[in-house]
Amino acid sequence: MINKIKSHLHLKLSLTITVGAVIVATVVSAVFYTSSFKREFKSYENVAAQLIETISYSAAIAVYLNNHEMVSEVAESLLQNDIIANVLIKNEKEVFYESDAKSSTSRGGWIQYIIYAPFSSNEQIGTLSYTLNFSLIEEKANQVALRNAVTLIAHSMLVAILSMVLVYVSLTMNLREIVHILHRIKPGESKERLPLLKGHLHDELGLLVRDTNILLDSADYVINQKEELIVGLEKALQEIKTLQGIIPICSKCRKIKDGEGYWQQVEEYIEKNSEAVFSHGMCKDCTDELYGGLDWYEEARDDILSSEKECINNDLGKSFSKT
Amino acid sequence: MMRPQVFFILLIVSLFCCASYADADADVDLVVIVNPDNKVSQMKKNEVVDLFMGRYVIFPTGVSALPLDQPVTSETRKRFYDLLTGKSVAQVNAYWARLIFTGRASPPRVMPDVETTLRVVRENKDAIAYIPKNDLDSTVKVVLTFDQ
Repeated sequence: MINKIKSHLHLKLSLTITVGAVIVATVVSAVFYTSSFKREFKSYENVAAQLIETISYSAAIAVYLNNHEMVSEVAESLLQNDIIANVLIKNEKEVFYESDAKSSTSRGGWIQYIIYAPFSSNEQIGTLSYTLNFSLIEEKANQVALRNAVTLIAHSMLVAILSMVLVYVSLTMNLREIVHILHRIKPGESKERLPLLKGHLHDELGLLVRDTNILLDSADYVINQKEELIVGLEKALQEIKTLQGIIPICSKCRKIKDGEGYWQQVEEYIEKNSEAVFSHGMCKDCTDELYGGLDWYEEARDDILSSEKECINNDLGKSFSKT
Repeated sequence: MMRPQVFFILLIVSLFCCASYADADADVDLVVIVNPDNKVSQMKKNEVVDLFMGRYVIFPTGVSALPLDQPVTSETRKRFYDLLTGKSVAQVNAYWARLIFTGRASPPRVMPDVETTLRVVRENKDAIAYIPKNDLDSTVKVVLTFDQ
């Protein structure tokens, strides 16, 4: 499973997004849980205040007329609402109504509402006190806060799944196609190139395709050049024979020992093992050694030497005249 | 044949006169009266409210009280409750309707006119009523006056 996720870009990306979204949603939910709870509690307080405001005129009439029965009806109608835990209606002289204490559910304390005479807004004729059903409100506030948190997390998951699908459709599928074609292409052999993807001509995928094709063209060119160079070198190597390594030579007669153990003349050996060819002649020392002291040789040599000197002098004269 | 301009002028003048008459009736002073033999000589406004709105059924002196009302459509009644409670007749009627429906209190007894009211007050020591000051005579005792 992990390997499957690792090998699929869209799964990896969506998993990352999901984990990130869930973490963020959880943190945000935790942060806003308290405020959500307070807001819900406040809204129930407002509902209770509106309820009191609704029955306030009836309560005022009931207290104004000192009518216990009517006061009881008002109080009991108020208690029928779940969010009201206790009700106490009284004036300075007497208590008109007091509900059975529900201390376990009313931790918020008493909230007092002043009852004014119905025909004189300045005359205070009694008070209506009530407590909220804290347990119920807490439970409802918790439900709302929890629902908000779950909604947030579910929303995050939905976004993650949607992003996974989008990534798969718009990125992974195209990348997979590109990779598939790239596997087929052998640089230097295949002339196939990556096709331009529809809808991705100007984005990063389009750029990737174009750059990859340019790279493949360059690789083809380099490979062809290299192959041509190799062919040329091989041809040149076939034409050139070079002597290398240690060649055993006789110190006296200057014969060379070949690979088969035969002693050969230097010319014969070189001509056999290279492309070189010898043309025979004699150097001055050797001619002196062979023909020195003979008249014809001495004359011929003097003529040659004088003509060489003349040539040299002529050449020098030309050089000076030029300068 | 009357010209239209003249007709409209007369119409406007007549409407102005009616409005003035109505205002005059609405602005008339009211007095709260009791039987001369009643020991109460003066009452506060809130005490009158308490009697007419059913809070108490006895005078401050301890004697039982019989509040008397004017006809429902009467301008005097309208002005009285406006001065006394700041409520309209409709609001007062709604108040009594609520109490009558629950059977816990009774509204003041309604008299047909001011003369009958005066006669009942004269003949009944427990009676308390309100009339325009213009209709006042010496046979009854004023315990509260609503002046302009």
